[in-house]
Amino acid sequence: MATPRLRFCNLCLDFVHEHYTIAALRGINLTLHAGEILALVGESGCGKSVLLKSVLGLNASRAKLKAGAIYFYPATFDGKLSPALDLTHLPEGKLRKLRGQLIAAMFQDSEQALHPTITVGQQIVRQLKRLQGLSELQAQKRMLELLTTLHLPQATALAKRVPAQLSGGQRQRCALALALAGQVQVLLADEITSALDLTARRTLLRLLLQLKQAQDLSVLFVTHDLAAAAAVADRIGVMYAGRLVEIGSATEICFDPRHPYTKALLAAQPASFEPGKPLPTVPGQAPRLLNPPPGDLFARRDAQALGVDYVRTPPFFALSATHAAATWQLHPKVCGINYPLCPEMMGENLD
Amino acid sequence: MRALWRLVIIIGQSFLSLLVLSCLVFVLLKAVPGDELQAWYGAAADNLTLHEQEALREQLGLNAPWYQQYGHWLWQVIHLDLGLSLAYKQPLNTLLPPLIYNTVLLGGISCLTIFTLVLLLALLCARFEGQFIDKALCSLGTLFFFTPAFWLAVLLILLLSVNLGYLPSSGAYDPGMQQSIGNRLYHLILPVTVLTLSHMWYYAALLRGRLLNELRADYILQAKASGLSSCGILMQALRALIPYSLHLMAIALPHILGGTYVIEAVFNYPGLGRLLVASARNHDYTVLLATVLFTGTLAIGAGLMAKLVSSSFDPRWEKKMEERW
Repeated sequence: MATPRLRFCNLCLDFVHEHYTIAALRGINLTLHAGEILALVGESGCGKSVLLKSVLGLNASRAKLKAGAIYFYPATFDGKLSPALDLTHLPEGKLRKLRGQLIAAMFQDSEQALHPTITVGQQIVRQLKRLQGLSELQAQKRMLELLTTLHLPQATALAKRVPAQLSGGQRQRCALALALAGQVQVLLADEITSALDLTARRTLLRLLLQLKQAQDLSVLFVTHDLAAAAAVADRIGVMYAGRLVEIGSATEICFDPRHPYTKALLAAQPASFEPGKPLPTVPGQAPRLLNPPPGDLFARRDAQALGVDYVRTPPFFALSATHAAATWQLHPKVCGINYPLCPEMMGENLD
Repeated sequence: MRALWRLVIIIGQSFLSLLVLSCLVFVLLKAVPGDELQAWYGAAADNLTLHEQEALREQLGLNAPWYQQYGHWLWQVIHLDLGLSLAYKQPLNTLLPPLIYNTVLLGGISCLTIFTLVLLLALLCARFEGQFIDKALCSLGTLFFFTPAFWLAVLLILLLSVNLGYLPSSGAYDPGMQQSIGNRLYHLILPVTVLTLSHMWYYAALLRGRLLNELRADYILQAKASGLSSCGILMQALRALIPYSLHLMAIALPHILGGTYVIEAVFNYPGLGRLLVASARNHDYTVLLATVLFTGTLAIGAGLMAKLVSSSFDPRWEKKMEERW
């Protein structure tokens, strides 16, 4: 059985404003295993990035944890499982020690994500010195090794440049080097391929795969790009309106989608575009999450929605050991097949 | 070589700016109503006959066209001779240095205090954004910013000099204490306090805004994700703001110097400001020109320094300058 590295248990998170509250995450149950790349896909505003930032407590101060927990299972040197750490209740000081050291994050726009006035080499060296306690000389050497490992030629010259003097692909690989400066076990990647061209994107994805294999790295990969998710992810989770609606292996999600939203999302891929016809899109608009009503929120955009979709939140039905979807379409009375329920995927506050 | 050439061009541009500035001021001074003979002879000028006035004008070279007079003045300046004060009848080369020293002392100390407090206030407000301390400092700062400096000066003189007698209300030093730095600093406390209180918040608010903007940048999120402490994060943001702060200082320098001119008049402080006011009243255009030239040189020089130093802190400035040239 796969070793869990990160577990979200019924995570509910609100953004509390003066006059209103936005329910950004509404009962997320998800496990990221050791050495696994788990991609999270979904429309903008569905809560992917919020979920990712909540791991390291990086959300804005308005974000308030309503319920649930995030457990981190750090690997020990002998490979045994150490006790889980509840990241949501960890004091700021202890959480800061984990940041960068065991759990690292990377963000979309690497030009903005790296310090604009310090050379990339210096940024990585500082991080290495801080996280690994290396001397200046050792850190310089390790930095050059890291850059070379990430297929950055002429590392010495490149290290002396500031982000504005590098290409998007080079910058993103430098950001990856910065993220790998500690003894990283979990990498949180927030749309890291979005701003890159095809070649740079492919190089970065290949690097992620290599790192996963070489370092047993677990990656939570948030993306809009279903093709990128399918190319590297072991599993893909589909999120809609602050909930996970379907999860499965890349093959299961791409070739056997069961939730109407996953189907709509796949139908809206540019690959399914036929010349002369309008570009396919998911109909309707993403719901606002101010006091969200019960039920499956995608029902309002789904022509095939059932009456029950408007009143009761669907449970997760297990389609296989890895594939589960939360839709009433999989209820025995609707599809005629008796799919078992997935209790581990259901939140405690399910209405 | 290219960098040197660029430097030469920038310095050349600065000299050109100064030339245009001096020419403009000269023409304006000649255009305003008033008589230079009044400056030279004072009230006695009214008793002169028209013929005598004409002869004296001829003698002082005031009858020549303005461009000839300007050319003459410029020729003198090139030879490091600023000319003669019409009112004081003294060469400016001996009249100005002690006054410049006084003004630079007042302005320099004020600048140091202002910039130090601006940095501290901006950091404090950014660290506690939206909290009580930030709101209190913003309100207090705005209050001081909108309080006229001369009114604040009079208020403090009344309170600390007249009523309590703690601090001197005028002058740069006590009689016979010209060489005593301690005595000079004692006299500077009130003017520096007024200058600091009236100028500080303008720059603190600008830096606070930029700092908050910077703290919302992605690289700060990345720094947080890398485990940096809140102090380290503030330093990261501040590091990126060094070029901006330098330019802010360059702009602030002539602004604060302008402020010292008003404060000097209120505190009867023997500096350039007081001389400037008296010269304007006396139509003493050589003094006015020299003072404007001094302020202009300082402003342009500060901008030039900020530009040159910025590029060493932020290579993007270097790139921008290269693209320009």
